[in-house]
Amino acid sequence: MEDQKGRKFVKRLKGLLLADTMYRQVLFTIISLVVFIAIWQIASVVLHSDYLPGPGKVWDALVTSFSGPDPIFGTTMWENIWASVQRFGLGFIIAFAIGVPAGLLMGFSRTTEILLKPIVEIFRPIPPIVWVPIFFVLFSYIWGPVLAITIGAVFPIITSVSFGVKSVDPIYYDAAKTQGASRLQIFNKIVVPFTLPYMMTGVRIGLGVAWMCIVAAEMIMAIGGGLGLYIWYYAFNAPIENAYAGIIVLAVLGLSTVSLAEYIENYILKTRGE
Amino acid sequence: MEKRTLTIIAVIAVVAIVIAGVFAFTTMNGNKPNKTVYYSIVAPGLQKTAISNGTVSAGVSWEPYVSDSVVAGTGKILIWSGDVWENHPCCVIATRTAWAESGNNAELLARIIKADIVANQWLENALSDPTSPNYTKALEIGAAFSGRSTVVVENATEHIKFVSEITQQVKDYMAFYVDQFIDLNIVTSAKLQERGFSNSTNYINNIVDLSYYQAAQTIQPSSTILGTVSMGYLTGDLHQFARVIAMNTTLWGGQTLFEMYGVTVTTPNPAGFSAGPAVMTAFAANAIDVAYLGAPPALQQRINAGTDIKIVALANAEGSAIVVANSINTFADLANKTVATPGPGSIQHLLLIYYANQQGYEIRLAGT
Repeated sequence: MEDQKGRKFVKRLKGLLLADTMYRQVLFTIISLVVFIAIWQIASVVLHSDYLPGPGKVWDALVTSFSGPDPIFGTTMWENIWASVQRFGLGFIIAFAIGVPAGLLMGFSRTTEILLKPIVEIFRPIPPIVWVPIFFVLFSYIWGPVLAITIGAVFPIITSVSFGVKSVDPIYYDAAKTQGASRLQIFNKIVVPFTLPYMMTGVRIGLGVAWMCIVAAEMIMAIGGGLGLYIWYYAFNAPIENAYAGIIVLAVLGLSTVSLAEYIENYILKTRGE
Repeated sequence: MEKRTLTIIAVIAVVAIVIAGVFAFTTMNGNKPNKTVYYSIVAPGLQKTAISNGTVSAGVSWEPYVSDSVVAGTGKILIWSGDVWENHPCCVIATRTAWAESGNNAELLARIIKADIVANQWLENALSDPTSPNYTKALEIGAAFSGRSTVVVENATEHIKFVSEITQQVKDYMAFYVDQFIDLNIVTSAKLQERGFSNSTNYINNIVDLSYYQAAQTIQPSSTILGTVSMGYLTGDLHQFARVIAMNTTLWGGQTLFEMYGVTVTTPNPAGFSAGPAVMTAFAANAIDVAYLGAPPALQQRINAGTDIKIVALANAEGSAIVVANSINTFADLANKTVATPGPGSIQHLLLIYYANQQGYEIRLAGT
């Protein structure tokens, strides 16, 4: 009897852990985070360096950063987030506005691809930080940092979108044409739904790269402060726990923007899925 | 029905947020004191351009960036750091404590300091007599090192004092810097005590170690190389001119001045570090043994990051300035305008805050 009960329990537990349920996701996320924080704590004790403060110290720094103005910059973490989100949002919207049409054109037309590809390939591998001082001088202090983010985010969008357009099976075009579909209809009913998942992949990568550029973008004349400025300053000047606190905020912002993108993606796919 | 309710709630929420935002924005602006000068972080190398194209109205930096603007005619000096704080220490020689206290490194360090003293004396002598051949030589070496014209170097060196000795006055200045950092909350008293120092004077007496400088006094040139030292310094910084003179081989008979005193100097970063905080990070990473850097980053990070270093000699005194656009004549003209600084924690930033307060102004981050 007892044995059977035990077996049943194990079976249920197995079912809970192996099937892709929400319980499993939540449980594993918690386990992963707890293990990570435990390793972090142990590493901080073992290394005993100011450059790797423990989770407790970082948590305190995080709370302090939100509860009042920072002694160095006179801004709270909220103000830094707001300043960075504006810079990031503007930079990303421009990247999206340039990247999607460019990607569509490059995917559609062989001529445009031949024309644009060398330029894209020349500029793509250049670290965005290089452009920061140049853009600062050329476009001044509002648009310089914004464009530094744009140039980071635009290339993943271009390449993903053009790849998406090219991946549409020509049979669909032929089928649509024989049934008398107009170019606009082909674009709307075939190209867009097909390209959308690729575009969203580009958007997701672009969002990640755009956040990666935030430190570089805010190294020069970050008006109103910024998360990148905050992390950069404290990583070099200490207390280092403030830099870690900034990194955590940046991680949360990165996750939030990617989740938002996924939500929008699902919404569009659902409404266009007919 | 339900959908409509949700929409209404959403609209109300958005309107409320917008109203709150506008309200917060206007009250924030309304509370702004008139006597405010804004700062923004702009690397010294970009300050000349930022001032000349009107992005900022002024900049505070070290040489040769100050003279860059002055010689180009795109800016003028509002005030020299030496006018605010006479003989104030700027760049220092610092060493990693653990390195200095092991093996025969104390001997090597004393020899490095000896070379610094000789180089600074050579510089002071050369620059005091514009007709001497060494004067031209010094300007040419400075121009090659900093990538500037000899005119810029000549202008720059006029306001730098090349001295190596840490006097009581220098120590008092350093304690004053620390007190300022505590006032500004860049360093806290609690952290100072956590590191084992009761107050700023006690801290300076500990971090400044004059024994190596004293040992340097009796050191003679050595025919053999006694060891190798890894050194850090800033890119193109004319405050650290002594190091450049000491590294020059034509002045000292085919070898560097460091080698003449028995030490081979290497560097993990031949291009130099961009600023003092980066040098301190290199100390924390054990990548360098000795470095030329500004006193403030050394003083701050010994406390804030716990990087155990000692300040063993001076590299220079004075030599920073507030440079203003040609349309600015007094500090009052800078009200509600933006000044570029290398960043909070630098001596230039401290100079700006101190001078602004003296004039009855408050310094705030631009855009806040």
